[in-house]
Amino acid sequence: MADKKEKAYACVSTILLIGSFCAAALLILGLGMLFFHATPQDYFTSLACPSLSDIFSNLLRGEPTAIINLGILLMMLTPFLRVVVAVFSFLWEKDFKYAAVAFGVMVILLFTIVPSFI
Amino acid sequence: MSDFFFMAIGGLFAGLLGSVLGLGGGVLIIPMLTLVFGVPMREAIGASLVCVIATSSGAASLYVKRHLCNIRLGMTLELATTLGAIAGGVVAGIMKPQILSILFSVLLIYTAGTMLRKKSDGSIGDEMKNTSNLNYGEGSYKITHLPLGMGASFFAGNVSGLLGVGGGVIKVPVMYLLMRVPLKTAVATSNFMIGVTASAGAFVYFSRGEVHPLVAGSTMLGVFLGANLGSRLFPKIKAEYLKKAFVFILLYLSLEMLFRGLGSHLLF
Repeated sequence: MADKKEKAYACVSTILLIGSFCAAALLILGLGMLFFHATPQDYFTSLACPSLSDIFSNLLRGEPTAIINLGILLMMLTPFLRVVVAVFSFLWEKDFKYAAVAFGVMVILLFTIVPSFI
Repeated sequence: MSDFFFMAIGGLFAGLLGSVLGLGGGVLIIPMLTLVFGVPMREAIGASLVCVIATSSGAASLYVKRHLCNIRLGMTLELATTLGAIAGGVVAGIMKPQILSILFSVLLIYTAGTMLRKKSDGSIGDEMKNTSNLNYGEGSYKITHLPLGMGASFFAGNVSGLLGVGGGVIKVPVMYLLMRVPLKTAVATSNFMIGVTASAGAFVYFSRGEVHPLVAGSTMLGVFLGANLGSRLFPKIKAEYLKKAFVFILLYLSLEMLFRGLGSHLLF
């Protein structure tokens, strides 16, 4: 029991760390690309409201702002991933009451996440 | 482009200072972005929420590992904080930026007040650092006033989504004073919750196109590096004098944000 819990805690920590460091790496890459060959465009209007498909098509063209956007999105999604892991780890511990609570939090988050991708 | 470089530098300092003083970045980042760089209020809030997630992901992973945080309590309260954050984010989209600015100045005064009070009951930061009992998270204390705590958490989430801060300054007193959670656990649990709450609000701003990639990206990178550096470089700093000095800075920023909301300027 204690061992399982140990593993679940370690897993949550690892997800948080990996997610946030990957996001930071993407930001360094994107901002670095912009910094070293900035084109004279209006940064305040370019891609201010990206949809997910915009981000991915621009990503394929190697657009620095798309890389930055991806980093930001990854950072914004790490807490959600943490909640998803919590749902499964509560299920694993057979703690169905708190699995339901975590599932509730997940559904609430989905309500704000999904509309921003449509 | 150089603006964004300085935003990253500013974020770095906000992250460092925040981790030394035990403040989330938001309280510093929004005044910096709006007053110094002239970023519109809502874009500043969007960027700040992303920064709050970045800070808390680093911090929370440390606390979770140390078992200080009560994940069950955190999850339960998150039901309320996420709903509150979404509501706050939606309301912020309707409100005039000037009103948001004025509300933010009130929040700064409240934050300054909590920093003054912390001194008397031992700073929260010190509590965290002197921890010897690591299996504290779900221990022998009994949680009281859960329904009231849920209501207060909704409010904390609301403030987070409306003004772009983590809301720890509200959650920690609620858990500690109202729900009788030990202080260390309250701090760790609040840190654990802040990321989830902020992301609920952040997506509301994102879907309105108010998370500007360059503003949010460069500030977040700075904050992330600053917060990580801060917690590793100065884990044991005695910040009492810094805190006292900081109260004045918060009061000044509060006035500045108030004047901005009323359509005039103090110094900037």
